[in-house]
Amino acid sequence: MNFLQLLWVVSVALAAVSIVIMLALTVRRVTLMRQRRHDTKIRAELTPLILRYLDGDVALDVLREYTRGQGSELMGELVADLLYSVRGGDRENLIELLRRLGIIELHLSALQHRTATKRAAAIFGLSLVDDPPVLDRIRDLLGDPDPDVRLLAAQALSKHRAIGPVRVLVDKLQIGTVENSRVLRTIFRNLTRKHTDELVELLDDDVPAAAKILAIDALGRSGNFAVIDAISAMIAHDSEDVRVMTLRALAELEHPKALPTVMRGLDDEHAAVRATAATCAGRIGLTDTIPLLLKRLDDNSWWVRLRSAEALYKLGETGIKRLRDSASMSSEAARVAGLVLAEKESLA
Amino acid sequence: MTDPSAPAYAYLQAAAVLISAIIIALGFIQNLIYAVQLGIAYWALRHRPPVSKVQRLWGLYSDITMPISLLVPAYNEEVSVVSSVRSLLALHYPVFDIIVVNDGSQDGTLSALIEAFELRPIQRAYEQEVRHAPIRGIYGSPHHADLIVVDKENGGKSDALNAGINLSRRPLFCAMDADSIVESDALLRTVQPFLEDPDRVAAVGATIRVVNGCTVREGRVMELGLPKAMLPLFQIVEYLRAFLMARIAWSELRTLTLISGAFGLFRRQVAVAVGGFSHDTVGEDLELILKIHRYMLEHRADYLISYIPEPVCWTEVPTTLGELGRQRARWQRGALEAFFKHKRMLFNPRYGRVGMLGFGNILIVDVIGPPIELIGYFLIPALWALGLLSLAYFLAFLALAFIFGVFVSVSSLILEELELRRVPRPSDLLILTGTAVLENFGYRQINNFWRVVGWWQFLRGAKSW
Repeated sequence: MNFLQLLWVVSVALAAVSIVIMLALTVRRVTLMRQRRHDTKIRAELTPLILRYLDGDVALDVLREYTRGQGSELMGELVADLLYSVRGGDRENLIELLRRLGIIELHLSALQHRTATKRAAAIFGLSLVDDPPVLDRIRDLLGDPDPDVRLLAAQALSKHRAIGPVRVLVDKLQIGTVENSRVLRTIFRNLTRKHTDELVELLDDDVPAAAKILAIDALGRSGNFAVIDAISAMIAHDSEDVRVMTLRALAELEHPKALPTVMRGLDDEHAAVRATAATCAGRIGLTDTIPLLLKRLDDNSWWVRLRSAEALYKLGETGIKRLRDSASMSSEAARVAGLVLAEKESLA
Repeated sequence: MTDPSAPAYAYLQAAAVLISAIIIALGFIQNLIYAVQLGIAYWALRHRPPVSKVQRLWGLYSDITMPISLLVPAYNEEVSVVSSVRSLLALHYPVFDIIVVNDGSQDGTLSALIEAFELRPIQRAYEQEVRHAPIRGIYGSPHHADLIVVDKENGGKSDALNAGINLSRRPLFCAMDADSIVESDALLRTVQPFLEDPDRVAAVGATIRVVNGCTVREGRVMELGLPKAMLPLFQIVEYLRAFLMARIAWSELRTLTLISGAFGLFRRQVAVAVGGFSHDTVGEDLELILKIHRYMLEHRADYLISYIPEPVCWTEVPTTLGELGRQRARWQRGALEAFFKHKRMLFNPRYGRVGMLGFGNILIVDVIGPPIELIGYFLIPALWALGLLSLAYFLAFLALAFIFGVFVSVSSLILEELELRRVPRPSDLLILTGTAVLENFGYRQINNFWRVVGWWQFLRGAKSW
């Protein structure tokens, strides 16, 4: 058989095999749909039963009947869905139910599964459980070879404020080198209650800029004014992203002590930092920045001009008056001042 | 016919074999590309992270999402624009605004919007960072602070999107069609690559599905279904092949060169840096992605153009041959315009895999593929009938032009069923399997003819839609 004949034979064979597979999948679909209908029926039965169990009207054995065969998986899914929609005592009771039905044990054994997606699903199933042994098992996965699994583990642990030393987390997740997900922001924000000092220390540590950005962001949302000095010091950092986050964090804290940092930010060489500083000035209400904001109306970046004009408007009567004065002149500053005044007044 | 023993006949036969070999070789390379795409797409779908339910996504991402502007260019959309905007306002996403750009419509698009949302003129400070036709007015709604309607002179879809980019103040924008039907969790799903790798991702595309045959109410798909007519059915299989196989594969190889104009998420800063959407092409979606690749690679930036396989947007496909032919010729013209505009990227090592693989693919599948295949349809059977070619050549051509396509189309459906399972009923699967077989005997060939028409229009310098 020559190559041309082979092309014909292989094409016909592949076409035939693909059709046969598709027909087999269609048959499988019939079975799956039957299974899905059955699952829907069971779910409809189970949901009120679980709710009644929480009220003490149904015995555990009744629910246990449903966990035979493939039932544990369905029960696990259903309870997990319910867990996300209840709080407090009901959540505790649902977790206790998972424990009694052996579903937590199933998830724990799945943490060792060779497939990353299965390990990830198991973490998801356990993410609302705060038993120390469970948390210890999840903590082991901070060293998982799969970055998604590591991140999910960190997220689950941070929910329960059980993450351990922050520096270890930075190293294990390889923050700034391998891992850059914005989910890290949520994780770090959860650390502020127990790990404020460690987050402050991280600002001086030899870690990637990305880790410092996370720490600054988290500290900015801590509501703790004692961290302002530590955050403000980061305005001298080499990375403009760190400087931008410094100003964002100060804007979150809304404390006038940020003034010198904001002034410095308004004179930064990087436009994104200047624009963020302007927004920060307006948000905190730093009227002392008005002369610098007026200067920034002539900035070579549109975004700095816009944010400066918006900040002046936000600073109230004095800022608006100076904005109007600028608008009456003939310059780039006048154009942006006029535009922002017109915009704000048209929306008033 | 010439005497088979004459030397002229031998020359003729040699020429016939040579031409046929070229046509078959090209078909073989094309089909090889499809087979490789299938393999990569299957691997990628098997290894993607589990798809979360929307409530869980909200729980995961609601505090950390990036604000998005939805840019909705509208031209003569009086009938549907209000319900489209209403459904967009109801999307599940923490922070977003909608900028509808009325691109000089001749009908009552603007008045329908003004009336429905009680719009009134507002001012908005903006800088003309990318080029577009003059804006006549900007409108805001007292009831929906995040809805802005821009009325501008007609300039085409690219021009309208550019106006939207200028007015947007969000770090990301979503370019879409006014008649796209967007799933309520579309933004939450599509933004995921930006959240997972915020420093590198420049744009994200997602799967677009055919809405013909589905039940749509108030801009929402209420019930999935299949159309009765064959033409939209063929296009369903085509869309599966394009989105589920090709785009996933190219995205995995980091050489994705197209994000559909019906729905795509872009980093505003990057789009502005490349000058926004170009005016001199009807393939503005493809051209924008090529520009982004080119800009990033020339600036040695570490970047990603990602793709998510989940269907997030639905679109109505043409139902008549005339309409479909015009669309396909236009798409072909757009591909050629983009290709020749950026031809220096082709096989240029400076542009890495995009130049070698992405552009190589466009060259084979979009540039030289259609005319050569069309020539093959006529030439090879004729040469075989005249006795200038052996049966083996004829069968090989049939295999590559018709039979292998069955494998590719049915395999796309297999991927869908194994990994997404969005076809509602087993009977629908059977219908689509039949369609995936049938489309290779006539439909694909007509399509190829339309693409050659697109080639002809390109050579004549046609500019119209």
